[in-house]
Amino acid sequence: MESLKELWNYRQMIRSLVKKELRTRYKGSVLGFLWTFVNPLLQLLVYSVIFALIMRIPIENYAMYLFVGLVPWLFCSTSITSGSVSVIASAGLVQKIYFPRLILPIVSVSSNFMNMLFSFIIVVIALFATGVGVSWYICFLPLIMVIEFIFVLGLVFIFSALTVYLRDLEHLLGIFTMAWFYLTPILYSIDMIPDRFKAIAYANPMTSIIVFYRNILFDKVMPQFSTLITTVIFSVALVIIGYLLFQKLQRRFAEEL
Amino acid sequence: MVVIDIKNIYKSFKIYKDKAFSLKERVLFRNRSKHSRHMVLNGLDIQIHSGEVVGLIGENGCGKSTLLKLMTRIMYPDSGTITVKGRVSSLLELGAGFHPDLTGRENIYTNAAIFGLAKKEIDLRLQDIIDFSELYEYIDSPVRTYSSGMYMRLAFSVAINVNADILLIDEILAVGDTNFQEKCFNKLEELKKEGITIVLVTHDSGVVQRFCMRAIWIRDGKIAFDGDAEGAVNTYHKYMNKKKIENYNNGRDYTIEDIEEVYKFFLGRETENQQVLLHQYNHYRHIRDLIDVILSSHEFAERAELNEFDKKSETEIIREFRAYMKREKNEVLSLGLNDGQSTGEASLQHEKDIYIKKAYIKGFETKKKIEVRPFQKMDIAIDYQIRKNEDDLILGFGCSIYYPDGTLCYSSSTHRDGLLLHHLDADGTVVFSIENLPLMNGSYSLSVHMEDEKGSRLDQIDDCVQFSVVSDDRSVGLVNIPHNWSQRN
Repeated sequence: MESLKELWNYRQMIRSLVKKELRTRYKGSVLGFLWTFVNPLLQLLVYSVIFALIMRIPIENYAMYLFVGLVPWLFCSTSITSGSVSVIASAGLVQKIYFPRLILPIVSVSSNFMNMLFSFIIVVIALFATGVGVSWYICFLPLIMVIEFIFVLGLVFIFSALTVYLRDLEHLLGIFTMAWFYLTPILYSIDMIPDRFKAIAYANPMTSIIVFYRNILFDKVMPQFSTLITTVIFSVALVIIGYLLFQKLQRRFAEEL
Repeated sequence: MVVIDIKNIYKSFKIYKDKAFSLKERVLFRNRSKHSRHMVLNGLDIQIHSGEVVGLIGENGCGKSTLLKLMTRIMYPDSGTITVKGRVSSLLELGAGFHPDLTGRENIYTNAAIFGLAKKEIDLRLQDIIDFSELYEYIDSPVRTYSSGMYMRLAFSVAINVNADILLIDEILAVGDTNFQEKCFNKLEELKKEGITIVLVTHDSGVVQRFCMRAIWIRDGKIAFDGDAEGAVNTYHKYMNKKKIENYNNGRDYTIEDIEEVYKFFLGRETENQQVLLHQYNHYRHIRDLIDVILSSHEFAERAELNEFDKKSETEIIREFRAYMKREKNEVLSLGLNDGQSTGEASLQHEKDIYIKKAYIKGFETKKKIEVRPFQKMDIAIDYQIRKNEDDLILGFGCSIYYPDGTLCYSSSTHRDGLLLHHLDADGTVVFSIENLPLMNGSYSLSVHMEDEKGSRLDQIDDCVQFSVVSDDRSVGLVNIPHNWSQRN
């Protein structure tokens, strides 16, 4: 509890580090911060060209279908890859200055989260532009974003702390996220999974999260809360476990780095 | 009020021989223990009161920086507790967390946030920080355009202006130009007057004496001294000087007892004269050098004829000596000979029957500064005294010249030159004459000794005269070789 209070006292550090992260990511480029928007826009353009002209998929408006799931997925995967090295990358700070170490993974996930928010501006514009449009179900968007944030944060707590002690994890996670990407219905629809594997597919928390995003943005139907509830419970448990593990492991960070 | 309360803390580090970071190595070499534990802090108890300015001193690796890191909570102790009350600002490294692409102003916000300040608090202090750093017109330029001096100024300004209750400083005052250092010190003095608790780690005893009211000397993870700064620095210096001398002796690969063994083995006798031992000990860094000198001596040649030595090669002799040392070593140690006893005996030397009164260079008896020219005549006189009245007393004299670094330049004795001096006066002078002094420009030191008929030293004065050879000769080297240039057609 004491450390959570302290984390609150350091909120300015989180804020300013996230800001620094976002501002310096595209520093030196001509478009600068605009890249945050241009990046997803160009991605969408590429998918549209490929899937409309070259690789025909029997899903209507497939580029958009893909994009809606891909943006939240990219938040998850980039958070894991960049978040897992967040402590190592700040070795200089960790060895020299005291601050709650938890800030590092939080900043990493938060700045990726901010990027997702900016991407969703493009998503919404694209939804209108491609004629898919939006429904009132979009009100659930903040809810699912928060759930995903908690889930990813829990994972990153664990991975960032473990990577300090086991550097291989960084490379292992690259393969892991790639496999995970194909096991999650992002490129394909959940209906394409044979029935006997469906239960397994839903054991993957990202499945219900991506399906939820797609329901409210692309399909414009009432999302399934029944599958989501296990994900929420799992995410909250994960973030608590991650927090405890991180706090235990962080005591020797300065020595191990 | 106690603001930093350290109770019985222990801290150890793993020392990795070869750190296994990767999974492969961890799995493959699971059973190989690649680290050893190194105790850094060994049960420390320190209480620092509000408003105290405490210096932590000690050698490198004594644990003082670790202690500071424990106070800031960068590290945690293995056992024991540390309670720190109040906001801590640590100046362990200035400018940690600066981003080169952000402007000075932006970096102030980021850096101050790292110290745990809220935005409002930073807003309040922004002007103070900029004022102190004197970076007015540069504050909105990216930090990467700053000079290192400007960078340090900004970093220090942030760290010092966060209104901490406790300031922890590690060696940072060694950086920056003198003006900036002065400014930092003035600021620290100011903070000291305001009653802020300051703990600093430094190697600069001057800083401790001038700035701290209390100093803690940490040695091998324990408190060796805790008290007034002056006393701490003095005790620490005394210890360091002693250690320096010990280290110098440790550079040798043998002990003074080993020399006795060398004598016993090669010359078949013990050297009763401790002065000789000390002399050898001082002049040969490696026992091999000493053995070489003995092997090439007249005395050894004589002895070699008496026993089987002359049939053996030098390496065989050395090998035998090593084996001999191995056998004798334990015995030697159990005899309990030590330096204390040897020096004790050495101080008695003037009560001896035969001794050197003084040695000097003729013509320079009263001069303090002796300057001679190369290829001139130089007479070294040795005044001696014999109290013993034996009719057939045979004595010898020796003379050694050393380069300033202690290297032997030249040494000889009546014994080595095959001379025997009979019927000496009880109180007399022996002169060692050099016709053409073949020395290069530079300063030299002279040692003289007296020896018995076998060449064992009876008395000796090291470093009795220092003299310089001065000339406009521009040649270089160790000896001045008389020469001429000629041309042949």
